Amino acid sequence: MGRYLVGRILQTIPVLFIVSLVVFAIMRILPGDPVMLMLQGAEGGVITPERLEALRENMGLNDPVVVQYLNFLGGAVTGDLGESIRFRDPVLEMILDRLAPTMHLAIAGLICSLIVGVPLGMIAAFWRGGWIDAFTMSFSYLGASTPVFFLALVLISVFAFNLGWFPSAGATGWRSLVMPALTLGLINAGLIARLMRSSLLEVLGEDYMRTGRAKGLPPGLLLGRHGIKNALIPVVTILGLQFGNMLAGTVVTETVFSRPGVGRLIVNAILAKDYPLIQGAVLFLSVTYVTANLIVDILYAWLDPRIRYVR
Amino acid sequence: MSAEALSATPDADAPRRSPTRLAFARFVRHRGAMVGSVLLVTWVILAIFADAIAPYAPNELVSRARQAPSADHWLGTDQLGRDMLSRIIHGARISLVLGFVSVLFGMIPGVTLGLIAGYVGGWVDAVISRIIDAMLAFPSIILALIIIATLGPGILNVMIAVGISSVPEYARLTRGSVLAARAQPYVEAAWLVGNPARRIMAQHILPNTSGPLIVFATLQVGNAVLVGAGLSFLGLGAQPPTSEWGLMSAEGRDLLRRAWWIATFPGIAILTVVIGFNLIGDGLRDAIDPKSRPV
Repeated sequence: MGRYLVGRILQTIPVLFIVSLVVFAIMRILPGDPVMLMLQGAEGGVITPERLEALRENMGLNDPVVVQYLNFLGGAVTGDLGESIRFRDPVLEMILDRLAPTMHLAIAGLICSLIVGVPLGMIAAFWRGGWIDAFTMSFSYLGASTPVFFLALVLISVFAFNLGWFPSAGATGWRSLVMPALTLGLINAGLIARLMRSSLLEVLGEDYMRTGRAKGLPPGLLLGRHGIKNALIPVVTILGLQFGNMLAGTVVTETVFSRPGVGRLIVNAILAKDYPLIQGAVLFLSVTYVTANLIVDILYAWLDPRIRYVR
Repeated sequence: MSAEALSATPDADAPRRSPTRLAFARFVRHRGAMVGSVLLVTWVILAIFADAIAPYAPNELVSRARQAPSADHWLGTDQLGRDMLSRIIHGARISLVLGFVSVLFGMIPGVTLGLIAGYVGGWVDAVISRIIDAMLAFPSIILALIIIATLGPGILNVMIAVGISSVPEYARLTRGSVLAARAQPYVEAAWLVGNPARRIMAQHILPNTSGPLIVFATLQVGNAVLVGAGLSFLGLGAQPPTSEWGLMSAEGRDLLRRAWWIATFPGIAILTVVIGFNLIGDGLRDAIDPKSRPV
């Protein structure tokens, strides 16, 4: 396990390197001059060539591109992601301020998709071919085809406006988390239900299940210890992907529910052309995603010992 | 295996019929695929003949603002007094074009990269594969956001962004199929009789690996419609006064309490288009490869 762990962690280094390269490239292939944008955004006064030059020098834009990249990388590693053009605040600070609500949302959404998806998939597998199965498959279809913002608006109409159970906006307390998490969870639950269904169907046909039955294991124990645990393995492997879906979903969900968060920060930064902020936030989300996938792979190796010896 | 699946096995009934025709026959018998086809054909007809079918022009101010659905305006009027039904019918053009064009933007470079990587192999494959891996390290929406941040908001930029963010998946899929196909005797035969690499790739390998690609592309059209609408909803895609469905939903968002129909009908429109593509995609998969059908 130790060797696998080290190897897997080392594998993420080139990925992170390329991620940083792509994010750095955003600023370089822009059609406009970021310094001009900065001055336009900040002060209305006259832009003299001297001021422009001074700022370029100050920002290091006169250095060779390689030096600029190394400075950027060095900054990123030490937690300095530069300053927002619009707010004049350090980018990292702005992201960290909004990190907690985004993580709460992504994790709550993930849990919600598991709570709905796993039992639904199990039920569909047990009563394969019946109406429950048909219902599950339809539900899965609907989830994969519904725009996130549409489901969010439907939930707001029903639970905030008509029933008044939950607030339609904000991020104060657990009640404001319910609907955004439900939105993300329901959209993604279908995928999990489908996967759980086919995985459990496969496991139920395995030899070790028959052996277990033959040696007289109680059905509950057989199913719990051998059936469901093994059927969950493919579900675990896509958790990293699902977490990415959740992070991606927060971009829209946070906007619909007016929740402060990293996703909404990126959208607003793009609309305001706040490039250092875009760069920092995208880098941050990507690193989070890569890390989540790393954790999932380690979890996977722990669940299924065969993985550790492959490669 | 069910009786139906048995009779669908190509060797069982008519060995002389071509695989394409057999696949087509299976597709026509597939209930989901037929539902999807009806949905999509309806939308395509509405999109093509929008000018003739829609009662009004999409940006025409026809009546008082925020009128509930009625006999005069089946889907009501929006916040400015434009006819919702007409806007949704015209919006079908935008969403369908967005879906297809995005897929082309992703498929052409992706398949080309995958073909080259899989067929040439060696260091070329190593370089392309590393790039693909790195692109897959971004969630595709983040990749799309990066591209929009660079190019600026707009519907064309959304197509480019959604397209490019799917390039790595096309490349990976194609590369895998090519690697599998390259080991087949027919490729070796084509090479032995002296075909140049480019022709082997285009005329022998590509047609024989196109099944999974067609399925993926079909599902991807639906996904592009979904992501494109989401980006427009955020203000990063189509700009007012375009009758784009995502944008229309966003415009109705703050009026949800007083005029629910403004945000709701565009959402349902997106839903039906995407379901259509997903049903057809799954139907195609079952038709092309009957073994892939769920147990």
